[in-house]
Amino acid sequence: MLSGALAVATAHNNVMTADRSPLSDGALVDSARQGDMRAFERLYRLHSARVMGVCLRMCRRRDVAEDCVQQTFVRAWRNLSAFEGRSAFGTWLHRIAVNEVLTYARNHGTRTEGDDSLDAADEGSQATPGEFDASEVMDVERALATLPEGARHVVVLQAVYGYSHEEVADMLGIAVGTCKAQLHRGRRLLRERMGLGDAPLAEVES
Amino acid sequence: MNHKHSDPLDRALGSLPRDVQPERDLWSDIRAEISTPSAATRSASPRAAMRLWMSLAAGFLLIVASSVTTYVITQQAAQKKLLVAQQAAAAQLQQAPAVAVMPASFGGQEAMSAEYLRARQALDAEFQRQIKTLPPVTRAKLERNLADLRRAASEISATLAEHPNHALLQELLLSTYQSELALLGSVTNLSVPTLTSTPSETRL
Amino acid sequence: MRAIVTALSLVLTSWCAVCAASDEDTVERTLPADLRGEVEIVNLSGDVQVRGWDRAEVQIHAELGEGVEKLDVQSSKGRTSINVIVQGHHNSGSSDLVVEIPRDSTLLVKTVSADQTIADVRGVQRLQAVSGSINTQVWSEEFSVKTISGEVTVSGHKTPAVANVNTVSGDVNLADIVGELNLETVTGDMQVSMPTLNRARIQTTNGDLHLVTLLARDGRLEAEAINGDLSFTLRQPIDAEFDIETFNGEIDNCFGPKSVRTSEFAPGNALRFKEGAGSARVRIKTLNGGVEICK
Repeated sequence: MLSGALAVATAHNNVMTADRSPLSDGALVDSARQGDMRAFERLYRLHSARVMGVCLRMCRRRDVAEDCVQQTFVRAWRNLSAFEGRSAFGTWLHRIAVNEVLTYARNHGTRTEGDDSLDAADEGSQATPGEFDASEVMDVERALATLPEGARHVVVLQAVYGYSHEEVADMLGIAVGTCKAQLHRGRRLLRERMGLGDAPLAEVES
Repeated sequence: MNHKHSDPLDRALGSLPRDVQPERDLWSDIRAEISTPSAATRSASPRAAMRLWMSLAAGFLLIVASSVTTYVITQQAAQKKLLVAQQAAAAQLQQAPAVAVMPASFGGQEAMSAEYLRARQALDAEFQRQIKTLPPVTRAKLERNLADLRRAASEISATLAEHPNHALLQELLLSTYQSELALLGSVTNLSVPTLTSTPSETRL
Repeated sequence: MRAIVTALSLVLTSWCAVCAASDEDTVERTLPADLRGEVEIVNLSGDVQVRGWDRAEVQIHAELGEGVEKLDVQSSKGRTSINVIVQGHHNSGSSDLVVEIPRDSTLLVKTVSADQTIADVRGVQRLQAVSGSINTQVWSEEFSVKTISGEVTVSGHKTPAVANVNTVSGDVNLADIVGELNLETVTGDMQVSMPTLNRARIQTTNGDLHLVTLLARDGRLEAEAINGDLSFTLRQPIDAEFDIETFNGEIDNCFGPKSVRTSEFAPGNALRFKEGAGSARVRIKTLNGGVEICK
């Protein structure tokens, strides 16, 4: 389901090249706060693709991701007065989106971020080492989707979207230490599944 | 890590497009939902009001807590008790042989000596008593850091259960316990002279 | 008439009460002190600034906030103690202290939220804060700095010293420290620049470290992290043996050799190699933290 959704989406990926300067976002947010829905629609057009990217990679299902995107913008509209401009508008949207993803996961019985234990037995879907080709974008997406939820969430936010450990930990409601541990675990699993950096075994000097 | 461009994994992750267009235009549904006052909006208000109340209450508590910041350990006996507990726990840790780990089916608990566990418990009790006297922000930071340490110890223990006698894991677990003891003991020597005590002559 | 007097008294009393409540006490004291004596300063909140000078005197300028009962200053047998005494259950205002002390004094400072700024004190320093920050300069004497969450900044003068720095979540910045370093944090990040490293033991649970140094011949560097990332830039010439191991982390290095798996059945990477004659020893261990070592 994921690969199909992404194939369609990326094929039609006419990324908005509109100016996303904070200045333009700021003016649009100010107008939207006054009730200007056209300004808010403009914000939607500027930011929806990125929010979709975050949601889709975190929850892996296109239909769920689209629901999350929708709810993200609805909540954003209703809470515009709470946006203080300390972070970029996009960052604020991503926080809301992550919250939506986690809420969905909690309500639908998947393992939550509150469970900080790194369950080594839960390695996500079964994947064979070297199954994915790192040079193929579709394979990287599929390898990412095979990661267990906790590691996947952290890898998406940190390694794909560039948030810091502290920001990711805050967004996911986990400790920074757990975030780092999940990142390293996710990266290790990705390396194995994409056949990267698989060094030969060697004798360990005692 | 700095060498992002040379690492094939980083290159692979960097190749992923950040933007993914939804398959359908969601704007009409969004507009429909935000145009009509909904239950969500109505229920958001009490939630927002609750959040505001909580912020105010927290602010009030902060002021109250600050005003009663006396940094207790005015009782010499309590300080001495804490020091004794810390030294006992540290001594046990030093004497511990390679940490043996019981199988995960027993909860992955380390087979540390009973004396160490008792000493650590005493230290923990003193710590819990003393952090209550600290400003809430500092107390919260201490508790978070202690939780981080215990989480780390738990993770290492669980991993050791799968890989018994792994030297690196044992070493790191011992270090984590030592860090935990150090943190539990870090709230000692925070006494500041008040009218109810004599000025501190404790050397740092 | 009596009513007027009573009314006036009431007004004056209220006015004085307001004065007392809002007045900050200023205290100026100067005492003789040993050139190599000991000075202890204790303050809850506010500021503590200490400057070393060449006089055999301790000079105190204190602005005492509300809720402070008194500034207790005692001096005997080469030891001067300066304590801001607060009332037990009063909202203690912030008190600012500026203290000049003989520069070769041994200095002990304890604060809670008060920030500490120390300059030109060349004796042993033992500085402790809870949430206050500590900013000091060090020369060649041993120093110990501890905080819970306060940020620590230490500037050395490239003269060999023994440095002990310990925080829980406070970030640490050490520059131009030479000699021996013992550094530990739980989550505080660490930036360390040591022109020469003879011995260093660095331990952190979740903090990130960046260390830039030149390893002395026969130098010893040990670093350990659970989840923190450890990054090292070593200046040339490098004459050291390296033992780097991580359970889940990644090892990235500029030296050429690649890390290898430590076991067929368990995670774990190790990197062991020698540069030059291998006189110095570098030992780095992490659980999940990444290691980067470059020159």
